Amino acid sequence: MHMADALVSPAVAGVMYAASAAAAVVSVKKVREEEELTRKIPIMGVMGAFVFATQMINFTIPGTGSSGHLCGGMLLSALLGPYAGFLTMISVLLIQCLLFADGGLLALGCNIWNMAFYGCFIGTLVFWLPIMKKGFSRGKIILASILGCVITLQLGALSVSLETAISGISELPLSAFLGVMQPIHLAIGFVEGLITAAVLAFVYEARPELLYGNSETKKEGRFSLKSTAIILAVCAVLIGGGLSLAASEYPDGLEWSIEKITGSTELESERNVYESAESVQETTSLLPDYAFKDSESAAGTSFSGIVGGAVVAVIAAGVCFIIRKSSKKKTA
Amino acid sequence: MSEIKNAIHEFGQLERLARRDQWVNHIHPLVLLGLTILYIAIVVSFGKYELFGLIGMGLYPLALFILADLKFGECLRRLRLVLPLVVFIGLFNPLLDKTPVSIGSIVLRGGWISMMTLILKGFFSVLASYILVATTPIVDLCRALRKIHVPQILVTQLLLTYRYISVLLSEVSRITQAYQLRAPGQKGVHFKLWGPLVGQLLLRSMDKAQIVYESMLLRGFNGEFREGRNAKLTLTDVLYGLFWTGAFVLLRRYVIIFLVGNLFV
Amino acid sequence: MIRLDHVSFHYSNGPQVLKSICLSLEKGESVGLVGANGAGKSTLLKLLVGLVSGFEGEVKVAGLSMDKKNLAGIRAKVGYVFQDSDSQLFNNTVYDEIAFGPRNYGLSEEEVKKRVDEAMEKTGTAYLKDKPVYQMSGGEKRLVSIATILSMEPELILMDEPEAALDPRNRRRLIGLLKGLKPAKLIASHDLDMIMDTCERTILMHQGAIVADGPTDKILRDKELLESHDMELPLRLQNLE
Repeated sequence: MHMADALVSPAVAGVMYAASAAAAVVSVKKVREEEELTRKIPIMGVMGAFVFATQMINFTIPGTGSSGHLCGGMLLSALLGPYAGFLTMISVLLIQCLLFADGGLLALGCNIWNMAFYGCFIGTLVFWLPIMKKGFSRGKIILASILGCVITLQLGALSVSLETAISGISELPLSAFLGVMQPIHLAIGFVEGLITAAVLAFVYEARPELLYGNSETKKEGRFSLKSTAIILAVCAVLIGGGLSLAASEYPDGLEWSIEKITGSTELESERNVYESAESVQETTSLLPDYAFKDSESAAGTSFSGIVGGAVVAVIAAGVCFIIRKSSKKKTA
Repeated sequence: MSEIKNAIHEFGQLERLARRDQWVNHIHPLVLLGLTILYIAIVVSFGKYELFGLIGMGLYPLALFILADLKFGECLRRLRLVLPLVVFIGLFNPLLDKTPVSIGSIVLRGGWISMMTLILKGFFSVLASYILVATTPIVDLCRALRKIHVPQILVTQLLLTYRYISVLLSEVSRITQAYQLRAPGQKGVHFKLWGPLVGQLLLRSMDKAQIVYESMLLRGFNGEFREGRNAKLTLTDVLYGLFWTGAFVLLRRYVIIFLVGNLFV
Repeated sequence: MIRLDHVSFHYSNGPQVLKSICLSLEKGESVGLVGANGAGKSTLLKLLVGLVSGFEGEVKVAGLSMDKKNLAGIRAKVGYVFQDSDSQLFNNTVYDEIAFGPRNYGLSEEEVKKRVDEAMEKTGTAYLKDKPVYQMSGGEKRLVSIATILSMEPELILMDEPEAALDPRNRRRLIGLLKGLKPAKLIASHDLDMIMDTCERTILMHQGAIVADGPTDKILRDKELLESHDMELPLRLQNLE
């Protein structure tokens, strides 16, 4: 699922951008090292568009009235390899976010991580290549696709929950969040796995040489497990460290909401209400607060807000209209 | 599957908007991209009870919709993907967050405020990215990424993907139409055909990629898209960027609606 | 321009696609390449720009013999128009598309602009300059495809069914354009009427071999020859008897 900008705090967004960028840098380096680079670029470009387009197809799920969709990370990597697949997914996610507002610019780092990183790297390096180590078969393709998709989507869903919780956006406790997200994504992952398996099995019958790892040159596959472990460890440390930093900067994360729920029962008098409101503002905003200074002006405040908002809007709109009119005259 | 038709339509629509000859559209893509990210970052940095401060951030989309002559209605469709999720998550806040927070003389559960703040954040961030793509062609945006040292491979690949999206979307549209004509009443593709239908499309895409590759090769491609002259940053670009950066900082610091309101009340 | 001496070719483990082809083409000549589906026309064209390798015999293009070291030199002098314009046009705007070749050969941006302008002038596509490629019609795409190779100022142009999927008006435009192009041309096509209008010489291929090579007027009027090789007379000659 695509994270929205509103669901992440700037710190979490920053950390995830950094993590995704690190994976992208490694991928670019790896793809550059490949011999057939010039050939791979057009394939990556067209396959990106392919994934984008096939995401629009509805797949009827047998036995239910509903339909599933393809996300594509695992599918791409099983054809292009994890590094080229990852870079291709970045383009897909970026264009989705720009063209269709699916996800958001700020949350792009999170989305790349949650969907592309797990799907491409865990999917191929942990499931696809090891399962295919001793040769391909239809059954193994189905097994690897389903396992890969289910696990990577679970990881993705877990990340979405954690990122939202650490951002301190929702009042939902993490456990409740996980309780909703994980089972839903179990089903989604299973369907995605089936679709991926069907397509890869078809490719296996028709043009087996297109499948990643199915050629004589398997050198990448050999050292992959070790390098995966290293990449994963480094990323885990980076993200863990980064996110805990982000969490401590923003105390309205998990602990904060618990503290608040227990604390709020004590507040009875009006005075305390204002105090608590002030303390909330002090802790949540970097800059000093604006309203609720004393109760006399309280009634005035809301009125002032409405009038102020209206005046600002009218003035700003007026100025902009004038700018637009005058600049049109100039260019005309 | 009118979804595909919509996607193709939206694609052309944005391109048309972004290529209009207006001064906002001529601001350097990097400045617009930077401002958009800064804007969204500042919007989401507002605390969960800072609803009134956040309202002030609405000035940017308001101003840009007018300056760039954009239609609000056309942008609403873009909210359909983000808003339901945000609203769903926000809905729990009033139930769980019982902290009393007062607005003037009214005392509300904090959860209501934080829910509205969250929804507004979602709303503003979608507006901001709409403004970006409706004033800058995506191709120019991709090229601008080179300037901030995004690797060539990624940018080249991004441009190619963007180029072939419309080609493959129409192909998918034809395939699904042909499917539906012979399978009336089915909502989606039957699972027996998952593999062959998508697989065929995949093989055809691979063949297409091969021809693209040959065609590039024949015109001297050696792994790099060489660019022509890039637009230089002008004084207008810089001033525009500084103006809004300053405005964002001020809007973050002061609650403009109260500041102005107090002059009148 | 082109010299082929007993050239044969087969894909790995596949049947013979080209059988002992001998062919020569002089500077500025326009030659039509006709034959039924699977006659080997496309393979022959691809062989001339080194897109298929592993042939037997001798191939010389633009004075260079076909091998790995000469490949770049040959490709710089030969323009190839693909059947599927969408695959040939991989840039997002027309200007970038036409500038792609010249830029890759390291020309200065001023020179590139000159080349692009000329190519657009010749093909009448100047009005498309800033139009996104995906919004163009099939006819426009074909003309731009041709412009992309004209900007490289080739000595030889190879075309694979340039008239495919064009409406009558655009087909007319294409014929007019082809007639005005100076470089040598080898045009593979099923549109025999177009070949009659644009090529003074025609080569007929059948099952990987050249079965006739001579003046267009002679070959495309030879009903017996055409019909014995799964072809028929050009439409304009069909109801004359």
